[in-house]
Amino acid sequence: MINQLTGRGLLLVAVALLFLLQAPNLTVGNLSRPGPGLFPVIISSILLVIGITIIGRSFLMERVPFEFHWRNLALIVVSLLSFALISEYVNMLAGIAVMTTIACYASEDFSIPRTATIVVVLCAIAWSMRRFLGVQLPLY
Amino acid sequence: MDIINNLAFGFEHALTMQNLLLCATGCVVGMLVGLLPGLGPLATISLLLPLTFSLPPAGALIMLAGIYYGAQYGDNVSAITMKIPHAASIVACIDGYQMTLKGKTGVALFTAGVSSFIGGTVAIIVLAWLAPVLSNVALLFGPVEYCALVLFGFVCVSFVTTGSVLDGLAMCFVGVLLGQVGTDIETGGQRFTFNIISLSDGIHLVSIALGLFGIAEITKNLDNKEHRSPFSGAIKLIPTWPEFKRIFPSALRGSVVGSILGIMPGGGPVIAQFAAYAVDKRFSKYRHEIGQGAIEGVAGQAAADEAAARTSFIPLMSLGIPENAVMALMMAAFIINGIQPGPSMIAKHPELFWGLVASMWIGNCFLLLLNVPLVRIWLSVFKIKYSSLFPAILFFCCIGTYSINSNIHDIYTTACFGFFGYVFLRFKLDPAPLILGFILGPMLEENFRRAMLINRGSFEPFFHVNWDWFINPHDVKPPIAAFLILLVSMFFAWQLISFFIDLRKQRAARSAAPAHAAEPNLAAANAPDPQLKPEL
Repeated sequence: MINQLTGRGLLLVAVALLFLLQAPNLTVGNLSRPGPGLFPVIISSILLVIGITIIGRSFLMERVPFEFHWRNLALIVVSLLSFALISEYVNMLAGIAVMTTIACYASEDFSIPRTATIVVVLCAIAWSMRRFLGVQLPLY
Repeated sequence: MDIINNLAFGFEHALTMQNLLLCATGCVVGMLVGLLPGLGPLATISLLLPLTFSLPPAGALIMLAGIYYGAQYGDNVSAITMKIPHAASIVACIDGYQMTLKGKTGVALFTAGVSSFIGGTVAIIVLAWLAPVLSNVALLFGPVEYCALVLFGFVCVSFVTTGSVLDGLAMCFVGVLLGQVGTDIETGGQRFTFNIISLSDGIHLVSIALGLFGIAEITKNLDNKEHRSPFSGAIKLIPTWPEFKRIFPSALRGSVVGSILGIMPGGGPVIAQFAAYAVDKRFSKYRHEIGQGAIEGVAGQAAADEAAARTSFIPLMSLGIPENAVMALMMAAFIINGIQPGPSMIAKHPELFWGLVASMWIGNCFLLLLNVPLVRIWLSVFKIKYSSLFPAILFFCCIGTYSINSNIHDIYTTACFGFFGYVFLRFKLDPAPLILGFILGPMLEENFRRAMLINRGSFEPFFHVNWDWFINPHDVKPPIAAFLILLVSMFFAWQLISFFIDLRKQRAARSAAPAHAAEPNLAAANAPDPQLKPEL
């Protein structure tokens, strides 16, 4: 079981390291002549220290169980990605249909007729946004 | 007299047909979206932000402000009728919902409407008087002072939103780092773009906000089983005269509390509500009834909510520093529409500033006129099930992201932040400070680099106190930076001390017999339901 508090610190340390390890590619300079890399180095070092402090603190406090539901998250992210991919290579109406179908699968009571209704309604909204509000959507 | 002159000037600009329509649209749309569960002001504003891109600046600002307080009010409505809390309406759930249980929904909504109106009016007077005064103070601010002020703002916001300065501050800094992605302002070099071309312009605010507050919230709501308190729909609106009289003292108290707390860094509607509720519990004539559905319990907090929502514009428009996450989002929206909020805003665009102030009051009237009689229609939103609603929200997130640059690749960024937003939520890290950090990050960096250049890399000006100021305050620059840094270090000291006190209490409680565990906690009985976690 992952401790939520320790995990929190580890996550922050990971973010800090992601930026800190990129920084040497930039000119750091020094305090009196700051380069583009100086500020990120300072901020990510502070973040690193905070992350380590939070990890340290978590050993002093009671454990909090970490809960994470992969299924819904994966479905929602995949639905967004498929919307973007299909809109780019086919068209946006197909993108809306696929996104809605995948996303609807995440709800507890998935039903095909309702999903179909939602798809039609959303496509109609998208079409009228393009027609009447002048939003440039590559629908078809 | 200046104030009246200025306000009249503002009304002249706000009372055009177009601006009136935009204000009304903003209020209604904001309220409708604000009603929906899991969509607080932050999510609502980021969802509706793309709507304003094609408008002229004044109209866009007026509509945005309308969306903002429409969303606040919508939160209140759903809290009173169905006990759905948002970040902005936790307190309204207590007495407001109790009144609904007693069959007084209409009176509660009316009270909330009238009190918001009173709170808003008081706050606008404060705003019209204080903002020009404060923008003179802003002239004392150099790069060093700005850095210190931003840091102080980070600490205050972290303390208020998460309770733990460390967690909140960490999120602020994550936001600052994300703000570094893109092209460096001074050298034009690429930073942290990971060789992705669409990142060279930086990450767009709307992508981050929709990912963190839209997508992540949807995913979290899907994890929870849906349960809603049913609402009968029976509403009697107009209160009796004795009930009506009870609104005013509380609303006025709430307005004052809200106006003051709205100006404080890190302050804003949420903290103002709790404070107003506490004040009413102590000073109201009917304090014994509060908690069981008293009018005072609704009036005070609603007035404070509205007042704080308005006065929190003061630091933004006079110093150019947003004091909480919602204001940071508003600031970004201002900038997208081509207006830099700050001390020069009142001088350069008086019609925008005073028009906005006047339109706030007009928006107030709209909310009162439109929403109180028509509340039954608005509540029909709840007949739609969440499982039909969330694909639509998802769709609007996508369209919103796409329409900023007509770029499909921005949707990948949104999806990515949706993922991280969910991970943050599961680790109980509040994403609100992240937005503040993201928006203030570039400003902090610019001022920091400037301060370092001017002072040849020395940190001394941050701590410099010219003692002559205490003798001769008119001729010598006040030690603003040192004062702010002192406050920041006091916050840290306080956190450290309270952490160890808590730790000792925890240890003591654990070593004591478990018999004590069953003892009812008196403080918790009065506090809002622990399940009512703030949602942003």
